[in-house]
Amino acid sequence: MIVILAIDALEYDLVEKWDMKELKQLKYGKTNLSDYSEPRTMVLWSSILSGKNKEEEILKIGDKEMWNFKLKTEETFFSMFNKYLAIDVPGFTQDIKYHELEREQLKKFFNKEIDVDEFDKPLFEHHKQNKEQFLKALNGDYEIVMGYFGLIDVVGHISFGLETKMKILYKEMEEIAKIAEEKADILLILSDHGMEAIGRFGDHSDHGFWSLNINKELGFIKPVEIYKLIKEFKEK
Amino acid sequence: MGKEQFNFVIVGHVDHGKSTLIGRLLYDTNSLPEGKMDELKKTCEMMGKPLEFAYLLDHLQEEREQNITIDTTQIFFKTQKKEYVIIDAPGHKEFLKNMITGASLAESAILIVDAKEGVQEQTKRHSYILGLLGLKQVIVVINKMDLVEYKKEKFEEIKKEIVSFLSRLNIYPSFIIPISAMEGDNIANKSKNIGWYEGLTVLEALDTFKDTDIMEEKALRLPIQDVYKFDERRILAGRIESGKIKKNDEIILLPEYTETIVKSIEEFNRQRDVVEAGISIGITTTEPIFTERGSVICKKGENLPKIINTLQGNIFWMSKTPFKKGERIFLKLATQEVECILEKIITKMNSSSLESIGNDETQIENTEVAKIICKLDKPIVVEDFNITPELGRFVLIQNEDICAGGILTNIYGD
Repeated sequence: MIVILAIDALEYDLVEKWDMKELKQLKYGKTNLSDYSEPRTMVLWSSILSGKNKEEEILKIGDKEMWNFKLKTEETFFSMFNKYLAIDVPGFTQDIKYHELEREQLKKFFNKEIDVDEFDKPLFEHHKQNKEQFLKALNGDYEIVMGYFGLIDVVGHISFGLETKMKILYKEMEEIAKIAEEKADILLILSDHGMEAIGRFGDHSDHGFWSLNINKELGFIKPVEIYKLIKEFKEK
Repeated sequence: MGKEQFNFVIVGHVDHGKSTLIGRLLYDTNSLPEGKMDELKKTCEMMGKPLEFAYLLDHLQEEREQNITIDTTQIFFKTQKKEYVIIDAPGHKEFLKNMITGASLAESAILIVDAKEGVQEQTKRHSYILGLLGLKQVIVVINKMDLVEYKKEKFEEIKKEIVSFLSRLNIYPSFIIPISAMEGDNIANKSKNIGWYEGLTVLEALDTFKDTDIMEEKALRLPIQDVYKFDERRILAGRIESGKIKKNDEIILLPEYTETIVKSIEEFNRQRDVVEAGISIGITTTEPIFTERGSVICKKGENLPKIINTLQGNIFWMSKTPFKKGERIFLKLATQEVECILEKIITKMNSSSLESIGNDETQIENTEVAKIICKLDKPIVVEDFNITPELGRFVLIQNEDICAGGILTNIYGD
């Protein structure tokens, strides 16, 4: 089984700093986002899935509407497989309601209607649901499973400056990676972009993250090149 | 003047629970700033996990990084009996460096060993360093007892192994305590899970330790840090490492053997009659004397330190570039700085296995321990490490980087 652990905003520098061995796996590095004007979640995941730079197409839709953007299966690398599962993946299977929840929470937080704990709570709930579904899928009869986790991104926007809090979240992802590694023939861990601190808050950084449990060097890989990589895995 | 704070260090193999133990000590002694941990606690709760005590240490580190005025190597907590400072160093190199340079001196040590993994490479290496530094007040804690179901047999097995190893280094731990830092067993409170253990908890054991020698009762040793000229006065400045000094004392400056009398004692623009160990001062003398940084002021009538041209010591080499026989290197001992040449490598040892690598070797590699003889370019003032640590330990510097720390062994007086 090929497993893709998609972790939004997983920051290379923190994985390195905290020596997160499960996230680093055998080979790891940064991804090259130089073809994009800004590191946008929807644009980057769509480019990863389709093997095409989707920036222009998605930006045309507009900031608000872009979250409704959805690729068809035949446009993604999932089309190469008979049995696949894509959990909560932006631009493909993510329920727009989750994104709306995120936006709503951010709005309430900045309007001081809720505090940090109230901000975090539903996001953790959503994370738990994704985790449960992902871990269950690892025991399923799939050729490829892709599990998306947005917790580090959303919580990071409010709390990235609190490193210890972020470390707790990174350790959670480290645990999930460990379980995935035990089940997967090939485990590819990917982030769309990383994050950098602005005071206690966080903003997207200009590089993503990749790691593999097999001895293959991807170098400074671009998001669109992931498609070919999956194809290569499939053919092998 | 007694010390207000008791310094200790926690050493041991990576992942054996050092951070968790520090976090637990802070937590159990209510030494964490109130409210600071709330967000972390809630994050763990939402994740459905207990708050790991290692996070407390991370949190403190994070706060320190954001506030560079706070010393990054010291963590404070107190019990009803004492105030403690944990000297925290990221690795053995930093610890050894801090100890030997005197940046942070521990008076005792907790050696932590994982109950499941037992004695590991770094356990041995750190133990060797404790022996090298002459730390006598040592507590061994066998941690993660919860992971071995609090079994007495497992504790006894590791206890036997570590005691046997430490005895080879002349370290005889005062206490060997089964603990679980994660669960709080035998840290501040007696463990209900370890009913078979009737000894002290970690905090109780620490509370029994005493400050090491009272330095002010020893002979005067005042290494000169600098000589300042003000008007007609020449002020000799430095920190009193041991003993007392007062106005009209007859003093001797070594290694030059110049005798004179203390005219005045100045401490931050105020004059004092008597000053004791631990204080930085400046003195003036009745007649002008010509001396420089590095000389040591002693008192006439008291015992005097040794003056050597050849040094013999144990060193712990910490550089990737090997130290070769015949090579010149910079030696720093207290405020004395001198070039020297590596004349002989008497013995060499693997710092992890403590096995002898050989005699009369030609070079010392990274992390090796060696007994060496160095020929000095000029005489220096030294003393037994156990009497005046500052005059008994040294560092070797290559390209402005400290690459070895050492303790004097035999002293060849010239």
